[in-house]
Formats: sequence, structure tokens, C-alpha cells
Amino acid sequence: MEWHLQPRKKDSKVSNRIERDSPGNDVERDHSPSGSGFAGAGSVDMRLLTHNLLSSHVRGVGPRGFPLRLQATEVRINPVEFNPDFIVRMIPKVEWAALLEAADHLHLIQVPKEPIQGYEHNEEFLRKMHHVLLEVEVLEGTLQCPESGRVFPISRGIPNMLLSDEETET
Amino acid sequence: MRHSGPRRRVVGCCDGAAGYLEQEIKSLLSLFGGQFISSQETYGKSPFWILSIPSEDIARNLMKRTVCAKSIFELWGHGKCPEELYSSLKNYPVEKMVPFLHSDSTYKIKIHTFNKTLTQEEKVKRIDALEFLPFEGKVNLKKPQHVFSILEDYGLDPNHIPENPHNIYFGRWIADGQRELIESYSVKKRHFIGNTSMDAGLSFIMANHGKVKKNDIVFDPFVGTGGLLIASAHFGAYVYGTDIDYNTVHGLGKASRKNQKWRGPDENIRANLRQYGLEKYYLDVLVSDASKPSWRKGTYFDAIITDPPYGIRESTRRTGSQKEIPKGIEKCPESHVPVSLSYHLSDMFFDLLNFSAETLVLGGRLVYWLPVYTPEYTEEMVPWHPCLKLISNCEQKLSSHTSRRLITMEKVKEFENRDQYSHLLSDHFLLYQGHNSFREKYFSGVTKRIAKEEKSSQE
Repeated sequence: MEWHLQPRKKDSKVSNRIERDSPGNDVERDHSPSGSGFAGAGSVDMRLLTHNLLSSHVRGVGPRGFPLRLQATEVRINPVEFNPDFIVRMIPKVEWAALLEAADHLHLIQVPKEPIQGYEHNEEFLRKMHHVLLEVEVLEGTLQCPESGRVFPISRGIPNMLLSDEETET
Repeated sequence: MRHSGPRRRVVGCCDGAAGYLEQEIKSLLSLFGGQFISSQETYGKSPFWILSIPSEDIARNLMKRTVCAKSIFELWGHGKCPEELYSSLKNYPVEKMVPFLHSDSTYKIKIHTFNKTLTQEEKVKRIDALEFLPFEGKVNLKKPQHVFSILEDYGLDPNHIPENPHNIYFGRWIADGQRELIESYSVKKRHFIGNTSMDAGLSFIMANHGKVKKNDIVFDPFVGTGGLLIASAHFGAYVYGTDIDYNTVHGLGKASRKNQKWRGPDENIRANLRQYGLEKYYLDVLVSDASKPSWRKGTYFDAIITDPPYGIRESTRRTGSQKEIPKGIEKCPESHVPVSLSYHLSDMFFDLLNFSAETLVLGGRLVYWLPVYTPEYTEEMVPWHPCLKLISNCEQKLSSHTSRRLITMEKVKEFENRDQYSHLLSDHFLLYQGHNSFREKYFSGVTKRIAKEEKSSQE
């Protein structure tokens, strides 16, 4: 599992201890990492559908905290079984401008600019949306609050939305 | 063969599930468009429940989801003694029986006795007594087309088994429930568990209370190891989870299993879903504080199903100001929780209700556990919200003085900004505020003394 071997940051003493005290994690476990190298069998990744639903909750920012500005240093494409019914349900919930902006930051091509007439029965459209919403995964990157500039990290595909004490809304 | 119109059907259930059966069935009936006809047929303390269900299709759909109900039968007759049963059977319209009894078909009659064992001879006698029924088909014990059952109810007390049954039923078997899910999804075999991972049976019951269906989006704001998400994914919903604990979300740190020190690389929420072939339903998990959600305005969750921490085996925490004295600060690698405040239980539940009122679709459900200190519990203290209607409240005892209640609520009104403060005007808030001290009461000398008193009164 490659992320176990990844060097830890110096200031996190506890994590270093975890690394050293868990011998044989790689020896005892019989697992095969999935094809894409760094990601491995156990990793999780942030999708564009998720990005479309997230907003900054920094104090005072309110609705201007949406959408978060997405930057990615590591992205992968992970095939997911196509379920047209689910995609059809999601289309009305998508904030399109935010989706296009995020897709642009990830340099994605072939992203539909808006829902087309009769999209419910248009398989080509639905497949494109399926790809954009569910199959593009951000492993490492950041989400930035457009109003306050506060950055939320994404590591191993998991966004960390916790605020520090000063930033917390009262 | 179409059987139209509502028919009476009886379900048999297992003891352990008794408290949840009624609400689970009601929620599922509502999910499949069947109106629950409550009249006299409410669930009592027997292992059987007679219901009116509009169609056989709905009955089958019910059984594809329920973990509480063991089997369902089309009721042909019942009585408190054999004679009553036989006369009831004689009154059952023959035209309803005939489709299953004609000469081309094969059948078998079984007998189930609950809380008693009969000898083979006694069983045969009872089956023979039904000879008056117009069976024209052939008996096939191996693979019959139709199975009929005699069900005898000898009560629930294994120490007081009556000579004669309280009730006898006769019906045509329709389908079995999903009790085997409890075994196949057992926490014992799951790759990734935590100290408070939800029992598999209860997680399915919660998904049923939540009316989870295919292509729904289900969210758990206190996701832990993802047990509740697994049940929803099994029913075809796509799932999101958040948790304040960095380690749990990333699948790091100490293991909860005996004999295992650290979590392995296969232990995280996504891996749990993969274990059951449900990985495609995994949307995302985030490290996030449920009291300060990061979701944008909008209604996009079909159900919120969760087991918030009670502050006993997992601490209740949130991020917040340094001014308050922190209880139990925990360090995580790449530390992400700057300060741990004790998250007052009453605040937590009202945050949860507000969040649900804002983000659930209309008709969507919130299902969660509410811990209570039993000696002081009253129904009025169940958290309330103007947008959410209380559907049910089922108790599970935890100890002599504590229990938790499975609360199900349904969003019936769209959220407006002023709604988030209405609880402050409500009496409920003050009542449950007392439950801040749930943790203290759980551990305090008071409860120990009560336990001691109870013990001495039993001796």
C-alpha cells in the first residue's frame, strides 16, 4: 500500500509513531493495489459532483462561499458503472456554472455547457455527464473559499473542511 | 394470476425485532405506495401481525426489504382454537382458494409452532384435519408450486408454554423476508469497524425507516466506519458521509478489533462497500464538523441516516473557541481538530434537525438515535422542528437507566430562515437540554447507586 510508505510531515509526531509502530503492515496484509499506482486499493477520491455541493462556511461568508475554487495536483479517471437513472436525477440539482468552472480548472474537455432539451433520453449527453460528475477524481488538491481566500486541503481524495478556532462562526 | 383487491395477510416475525417491526413495515408500505390501514390491526405482543395489504406485489416488495419480518402469508383463516379456525376457513370464499388448489398444481402443507415443539404425530394430525379443504392438486414435498402453512402461536414466554395455542392461522405462503442479510453483512466479518459500529440488523432497519430507494442520495454526518451507508447502498442508494475524526475517515490509527493493533490499508469506508460489491454507490466522504456543515444551500439529500455520538464510547466534539475548557483533546496526525469542545447533546440534535430541514428533499427522512436517561425521559423531550414531522420513536434499552430511541422524522415543509431558531421558543429544547448531562448521568454515582439498589431489591 504505497501511501503507508509516503514520508510524513515533520511536525506530526503522532503520525510518525504510527508508521514505526505498525510493523508488518505491508508484510502481513495480502492485498494488491489497484492499477493506478499512488491511489492503491484503499484510497478515496473527491468527485466533481461533490465539489458542486460544497460551500465555504468561514464566518461571515454565507452564500458567497460558493463555489469553492478547485485546484488539483493529482487527478485520476476511475470508471464507474453507468446508471442513467441516477444521472437523470442529478441533472436538476447541479449548479452548472460551478461545474463548468471546476471542469475548466481540471482541463476537462467535452463538458456539456448546459442541460439539453430531452436530456432524460439522450444517452450520449447522460454518459458525458456521468463521466464528468462521477469518474473524474481529485486525489490531491485544494478547495479555496472565493470570498475569504481560505484554503481547504484535499489529501488522498478526502477534503478536510475543518476550520480553526478563530475562523469558526459564532 | 392476478389477485386484485386488498387481502388480509399475516406476517411472522422474530422476537428480537419486535419493537421495530411495526414502523419498519409502515415505512416500507408507504415506500411502495400502499396505504397502511391501521384500524384494529395494530401490532401487539405476539409473533404475528395481521395486516391488510392492497396487492400481492406490494407484499412481495415489502418482503424484499424487511429484516424484521420472517415471512408473509395470505390469510385464509384463523381462530383461537381449531374449531374456530375450521369455521373461519369454511367462510373463506372458495373462488379465492381455487386458483391454488386445482388439479394441475402441486402443493405442500407445513406446520410452524411458535414457542412449542410438537411430535411428528401431532403435526400430521393437524394437517389431516384440513382434509375438508378443496385441495385437488398433487402433494409434492420437494418442489411444490404452492406452500400452505398452519401457524400456531403459543405465546412469547418460554417458561409458560400453554397446553393449547392462543391463536392458529392458516395461510398461503407468499415470501420470506431478508433476515439473512443480518448474517451476510455481520459486523464480525466486516473489514473496517469502529468501537461503535452499528449492528447490521439495525442498520437495515434504519434504512427501511428512511424509505431509502434506488438512486437516492443518502447522507450520514457522523459516518464513523460507514456501517449505516452500507445498508443504504445495498438498497441501491448513492452515499455520502462526513466525520470530524480524521483517522476514521482516512482509515488510520488504532484498530477496534481484538488482537489487532493498527488498522490495515484495506480498512476504510470505501473498502467496506467494496467488500459487499457496493463500491459504485460510494460518492465521497469528508472530514467535517457536523455542527458547521460545508454543504451549499439546496435540497439534495433523500435521507439522512445517522447515529450521533453519545459522548460515552466516542466523545462528542466540535471545533470552536479557545475560551471554553476543552474536554479530552485528541491529537491526530497532521492535526486537524484544533480544539475539542464538549458538544452539548441538545445543540447537536438541534443542529442535526436544522441541517436536515434545510437539505432534505420534501418527503425525505431523517433517522437517528437519541440517547436518553430513562428515569427522566418523557416524549416531550424528543427534539422538534417546524419542518419535520415525527413519524416514530422506538426504544432500545442500553442499561438499567439508559436507553436510546430510534427517531424517524419526515420533512413536510420547506425550510425558511426563521425556522432555524424556532426550537429556542419550544419547551422541547429546555427539556432536552437537561440531557447535556447524559454523559455525566451515565457515569455518575447516582446511576451506580440506582443500580446497586436494584440489585439488592432483587436478592
